[in-house]
Amino acid sequence: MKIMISCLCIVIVFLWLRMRKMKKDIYEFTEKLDRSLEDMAAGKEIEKEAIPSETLWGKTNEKLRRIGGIWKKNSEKKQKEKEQIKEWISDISHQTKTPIANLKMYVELLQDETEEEKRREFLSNISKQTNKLDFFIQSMVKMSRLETGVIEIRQENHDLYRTIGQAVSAIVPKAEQKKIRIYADCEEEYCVKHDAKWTEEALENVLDNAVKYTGRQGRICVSVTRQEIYTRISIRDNGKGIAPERQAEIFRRFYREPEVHDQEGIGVGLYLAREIIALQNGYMEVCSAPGAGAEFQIYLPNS
Amino acid sequence: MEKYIVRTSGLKKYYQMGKNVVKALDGVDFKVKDGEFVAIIGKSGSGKSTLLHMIGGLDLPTSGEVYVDGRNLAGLNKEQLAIFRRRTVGFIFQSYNLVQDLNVYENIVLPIELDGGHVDTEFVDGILELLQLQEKKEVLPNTLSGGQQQRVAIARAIAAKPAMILADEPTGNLDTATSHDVLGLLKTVARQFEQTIVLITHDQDIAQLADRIVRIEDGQIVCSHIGDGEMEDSCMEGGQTSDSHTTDDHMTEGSGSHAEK
Repeated sequence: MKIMISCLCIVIVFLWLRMRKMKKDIYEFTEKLDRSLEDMAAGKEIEKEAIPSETLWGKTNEKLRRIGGIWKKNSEKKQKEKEQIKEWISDISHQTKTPIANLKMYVELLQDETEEEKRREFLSNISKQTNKLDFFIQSMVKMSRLETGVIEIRQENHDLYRTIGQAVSAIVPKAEQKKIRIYADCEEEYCVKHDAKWTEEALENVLDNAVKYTGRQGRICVSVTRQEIYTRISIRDNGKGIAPERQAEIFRRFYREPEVHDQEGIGVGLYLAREIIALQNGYMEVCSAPGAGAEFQIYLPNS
Repeated sequence: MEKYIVRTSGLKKYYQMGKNVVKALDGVDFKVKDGEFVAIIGKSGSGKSTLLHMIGGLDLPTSGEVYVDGRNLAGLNKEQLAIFRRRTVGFIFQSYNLVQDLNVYENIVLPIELDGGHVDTEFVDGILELLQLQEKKEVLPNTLSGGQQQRVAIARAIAAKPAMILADEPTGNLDTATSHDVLGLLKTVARQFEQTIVLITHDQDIAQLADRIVRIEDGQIVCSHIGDGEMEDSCMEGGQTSDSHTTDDHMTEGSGSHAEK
């Protein structure tokens, strides 16, 4: 009986000690959790355990830090977007200023001019500037729609042959003016998941770019190859080429090659093209050297 | 304020080879920004793999510091390094290292389950779709092509949501066209999930797909420049002595001048 009681006592003391230890552990864990949450609420970085450990707190700490990181990233992203919008607005106002100033000037001149021939010349200038503005605004609308996600890219099984055909035929008149020949090599009924309308737009932009930077009687070749994961559409020209240090620049919004400021365009074509392809989980590349033409590659996922 | 996923300073790794000392890394200052896709390019023996081992916690440096995700690796023991690797780093190697007895899906979620975590099935399905693997979910790895197996390895690395992915010659076993495809995929996935990736390669063509290319020769970084990617100029500076404060200044300056253009 005595032995039993003493045994019981030992067990009770043991259990009590364990309880106390557990209580302490829980208390400590909650304390640390509370401190971390407080840090998070204050927007501070959560203190990192110096040593990664297998304990529950080790794991929780890691996860809390990750969440904190995601929050911070998101707020930074918003900040960046805000700045981008600012930049964009300043770019837009800059881009629209010149044609509007020109329009104003021609209208004023027109009011004072009596000679029929001069008046006609001014009118044609006005029409040119209006077209420029119109083109600009249209591009703006496309860009903002793509960026705000108003337009949903619908990737369906379409015939790529048709999409390329349509893009090429849209560009042929422009190419004709410079006597540029366009060759296209694509199987008929080549099915790949893509948004026909927007992909056509992207292709048209790349082709338009190729025509712009290729000299008279040049050539542009479009070819399609199916690889394991992506379908590659290559658009190669024998134009002036792009210097390596500019190859990353050309996809930027409003980027224009310094030598061609007299040519029409606002520098959104390639930017738009890349956005459209990226929204379809594809990507774009450029290979070029000055004087050796340029090859743009569009990669669209096979499925 | 930590801005870098990886930061090394004065990193040295010397090996004793008989009587000679081999300087695999000799004073490397290297930084990787969050969400960046960096390629380290160099010939074999240039020290690129050693650098990857250092930042991946696979080996410890002779001297210098390695901070990964805000933690100094120098102070950790083997077991702690193992935990660090499991939670912070995703690896993609030339050999795909898939468990042949498990199907594609099981392979992908294996590291998460090993760490006692919960599998976010929606997230994993998203990855599978992006990597064009959704039809291969139930298939055993040995029935897949090399490119497909490497895609599974990529999916596995991303599914665990590591702070960064280290890819050591991931396309070494693939033909040129497939290599390009797999890298393109890695790039697309990196952008989609804002995943930091450090890629090691000897192939200029492959490196070109990264946001930034770092060239390493004889254990030292010789140059760092922007690749084909979309990162801004600010990640250009190789980070010689500048602390994060001066980098901030540099960045605002950079974007300011860009706005003026």
